[in-house]
Amino acid sequence: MGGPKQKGVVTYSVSPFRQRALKGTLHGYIFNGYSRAMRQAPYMLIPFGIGYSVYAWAKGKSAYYNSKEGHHAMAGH
Amino acid sequence: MIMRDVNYGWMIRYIHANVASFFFIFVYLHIGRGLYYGSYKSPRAITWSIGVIILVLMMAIAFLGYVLPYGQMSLWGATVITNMLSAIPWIGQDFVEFIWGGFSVNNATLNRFFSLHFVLPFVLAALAVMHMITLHQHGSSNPLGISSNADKIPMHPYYLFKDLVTIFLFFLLLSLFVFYMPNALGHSDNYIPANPMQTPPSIVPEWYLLPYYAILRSIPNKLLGVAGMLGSLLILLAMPILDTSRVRGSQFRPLMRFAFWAFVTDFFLLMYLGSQHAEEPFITVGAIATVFYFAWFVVVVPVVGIVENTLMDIATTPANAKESAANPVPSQA
Repeated sequence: MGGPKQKGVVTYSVSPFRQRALKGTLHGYIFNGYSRAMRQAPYMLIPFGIGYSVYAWAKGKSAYYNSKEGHHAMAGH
Repeated sequence: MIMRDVNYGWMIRYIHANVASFFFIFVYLHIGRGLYYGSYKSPRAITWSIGVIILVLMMAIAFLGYVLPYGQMSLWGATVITNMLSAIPWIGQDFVEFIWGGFSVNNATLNRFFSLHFVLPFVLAALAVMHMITLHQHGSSNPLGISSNADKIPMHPYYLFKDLVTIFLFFLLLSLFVFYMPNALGHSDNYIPANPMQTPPSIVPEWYLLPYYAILRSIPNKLLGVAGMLGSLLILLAMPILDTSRVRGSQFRPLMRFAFWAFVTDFFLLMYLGSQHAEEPFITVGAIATVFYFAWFVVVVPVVGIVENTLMDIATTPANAKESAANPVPSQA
């Protein structure tokens, strides 16, 4: 406007990182999450496998004890 | 009344019941994370101890609330749980009748349980604040298990807004339960009004109490059963002492990782056993699972720590270190 050049004017804007605050979050959640879970798998699958087989065995045994065959087999006891 | 005659009363009630379940889901995940990453170790043992007290109080509050609808499972659950106090030597029976305000679970019991279910959450909130105060003394732990003193950020805004994302995701999941399957986590028998003249075919607590209920039933002696159930929670307090490892957390400890998942498996197994009738083969499996639960704390955790410490010592003794220097790996030769 013909006046002296303004100095020291500071203009703030939203940081480009702020504008996409969640950039890559979903990708990281899915792919990094998958790879982290898979690295845990060897330590997890063996105990879970044993636990599931105990659960399945107990369930089967219970069904047998409550079946006609089971009642017959246990009749002497 | 609230289900049919109050506008959106059903929603208030279903939200209340399902949030209780989700509270436990989150707390169990939180405890599991703490166990896995060794958050209980010094200098945060006090935070961990307050956390264990919060867990016990939460269970008490949840139990008190479950009695209030006064269905069959409420009445008989309350009968079973309050009767545990009768196992206290000498004063047991008198003490239970004092708690009941009569000779069985009755109106007076319901009245005082209602008052306690309202008042105790304020105590819980105060404990949660103490949990945070003690945590902020040293700051959060981290998955690497090293000190984060050089790089800390304030709780507000960073953690509050990070957690808000999870909270909104939780609302989404909660809505699925409240609007589409509000009774999925509860037992149908609690829709039968309480009847002191008839016991239900089986007395099953809410899912989050099942592992402890299984431990209670696995021990034939009444007093020892009650002690075992309480002990299964309070033994968490001993974790800072029982963990002998010099490394915080399981991230870099393969044996401990394996042991951790074995414990998680045992927890789920006990949860299943708690929901079944007290008959074979569940009695035997329950007894073994209970022994493993306690053995995990008292034997597995300290021994795994000592074994891993020793392996580390062997690998880093001067003699072994010299040997590896004398025989460098081929790429360096």
